[in-house]
Amino acid sequence: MIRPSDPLVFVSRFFFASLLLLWYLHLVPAAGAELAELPSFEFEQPEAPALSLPGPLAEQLRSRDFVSGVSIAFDQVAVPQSGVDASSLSFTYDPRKPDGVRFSIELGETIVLPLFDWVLVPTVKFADSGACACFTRAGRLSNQPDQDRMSNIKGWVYNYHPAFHNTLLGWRLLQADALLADSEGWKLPMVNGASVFGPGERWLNPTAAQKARKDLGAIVSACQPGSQPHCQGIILCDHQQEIQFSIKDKMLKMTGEPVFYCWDVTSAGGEAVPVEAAAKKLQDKAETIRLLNPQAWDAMTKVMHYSAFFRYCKLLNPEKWAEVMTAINGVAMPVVANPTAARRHP
Amino acid sequence: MGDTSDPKGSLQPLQSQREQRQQMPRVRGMPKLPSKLPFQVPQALQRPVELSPATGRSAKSAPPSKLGWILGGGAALVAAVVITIVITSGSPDSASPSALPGSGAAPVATQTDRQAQSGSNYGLARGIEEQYRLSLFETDTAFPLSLSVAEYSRGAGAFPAKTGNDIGDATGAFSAFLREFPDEPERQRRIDMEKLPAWATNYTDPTGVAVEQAVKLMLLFRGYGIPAKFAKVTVDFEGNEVEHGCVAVTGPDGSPMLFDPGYHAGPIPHRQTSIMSDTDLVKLLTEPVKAQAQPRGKPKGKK
Repeated sequence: MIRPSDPLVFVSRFFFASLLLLWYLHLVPAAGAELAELPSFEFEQPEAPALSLPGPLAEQLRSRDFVSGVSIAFDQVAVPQSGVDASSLSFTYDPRKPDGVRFSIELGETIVLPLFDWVLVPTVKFADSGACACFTRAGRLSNQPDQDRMSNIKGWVYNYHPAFHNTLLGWRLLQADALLADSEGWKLPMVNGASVFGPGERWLNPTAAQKARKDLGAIVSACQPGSQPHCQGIILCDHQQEIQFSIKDKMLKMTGEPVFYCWDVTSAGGEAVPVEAAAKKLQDKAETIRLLNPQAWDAMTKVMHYSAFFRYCKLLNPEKWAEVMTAINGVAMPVVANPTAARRHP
Repeated sequence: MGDTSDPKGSLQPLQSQREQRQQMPRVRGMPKLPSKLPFQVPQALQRPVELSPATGRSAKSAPPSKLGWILGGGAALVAAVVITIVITSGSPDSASPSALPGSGAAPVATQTDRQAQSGSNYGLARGIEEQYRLSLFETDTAFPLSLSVAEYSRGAGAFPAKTGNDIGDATGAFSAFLREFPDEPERQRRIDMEKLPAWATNYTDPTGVAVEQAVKLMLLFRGYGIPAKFAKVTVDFEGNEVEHGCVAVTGPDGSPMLFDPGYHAGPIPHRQTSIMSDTDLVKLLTEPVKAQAQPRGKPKGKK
């Protein structure tokens, strides 16, 4: 029953509850997250299909359709370094632990993987999917009018593997792919004038990036159309890279680096063939290219390393892997809107 | 964390501050403070709250009525939704920004919001507990452990309400700090960079921003009522050897938990750190740079 003093109590609780509710609504992220900006591009978000191309990469690299429609692809399975017995390897993902220490492995001792969820969750999902293509800037749009419009303006169409779509890692892959093409590739996407960083990422060093850009001038121009040795396209991948893991100082150490796979099609309707000379030119400068945008390059390298390691985990212990996937699928990831189309600012 | 050698006394009890003040000589030319404040303290604030010994709640408050809560909550729900719709539809800039990783999904505040928050929280009272001494200095390169009033009110205005749990409070405040003090606009130096030691200039942070941001965060945490210390980082969470700094807050098990503006993460499991007293930190930040310039490239141990 409402007592005589209750109206006052009612009104005060009304306002208190209203305030609480408004505060809560203020914190809830919107379904349509704002698209971040990069200075060199004008981004759009027309509807686009997911990129879902299976491996094995070594075979796919001969396919003209594949190489002309993929920009970043990884499919290696990591192996233990010589002398490491990983047959007893166990692993777990504990969402109750703080972000950054949730995935741990047991191999004689407990090793925590230095991965925050914004990298870990999409990488685990990608490794689990069996696909090899991560990202492309030569993708397709769902609606033909959109596709025609982008073709007419010679724009880029971005497709992402579903694990990376609308994540910060999706942005980093886009940037890693654009490193050579974008003179301002060192900048990070910005929202409201502030760069968007993932946990564990450090600040930018514009000076080092600009110096790297200057050093790479000749290399970048060597990748332009008409240059020699001629190549039609470049894929960042782990082709022929042996990714080995070992334990040192309570850390999981991985070997192998992303490689530039330069390709060309010499005859109409023929297979794509590698252009080794062009690839070597780029590979020799890989460390300088990394300095153009360490955040993007390092994020891509983590995808390569850890997706290879997770593929090994899945093969070694499918039951335990299923438990990990159940936990990973329950993680709510923040939406960081990714563009699906872009053109250069005039 | 339990360092008591700090001569600046940021962690000293109030009683010892009073004793120190009594012993301090009177400064000549200093205006005498008025014996009465130029404003009236509201009666409600003057009266001590009587607590029920059993529950800790105010003894005068009536026990909560379920019906009242349901009616109040239901009506509030309708009203708040209507208000929200009106506000949202009336604002052309109402699209919420991205939920950023590590930001607690809170939207980025607009300049107007910031000004309003700063204004509403201007003053020193919020979140400061009595046993701490708060020192607010104007920008002073000679004394690097200082916040300007503008910086303090800006930071404190963005911090969420306290929960009483140091780590929970620090996590919420850290997310607010990252939103409120993003990197690009913060290139104006408070610390005299000529005096910054070479160890604080690593490859991604050639101008020592990480150290400056860590100092700022440490002071804001203290102003917020969270005991915080500066932690020098020599091996980061990925195993890279670095010269870096962040902020340590004591966790529930007594071990330090690290909040790192330079790595945009907190807590962050850096592998090798040393927690510094304020004395040592001031010494470190103000000592003349020796001939110790290191080549700026990738950090040691990095691929």
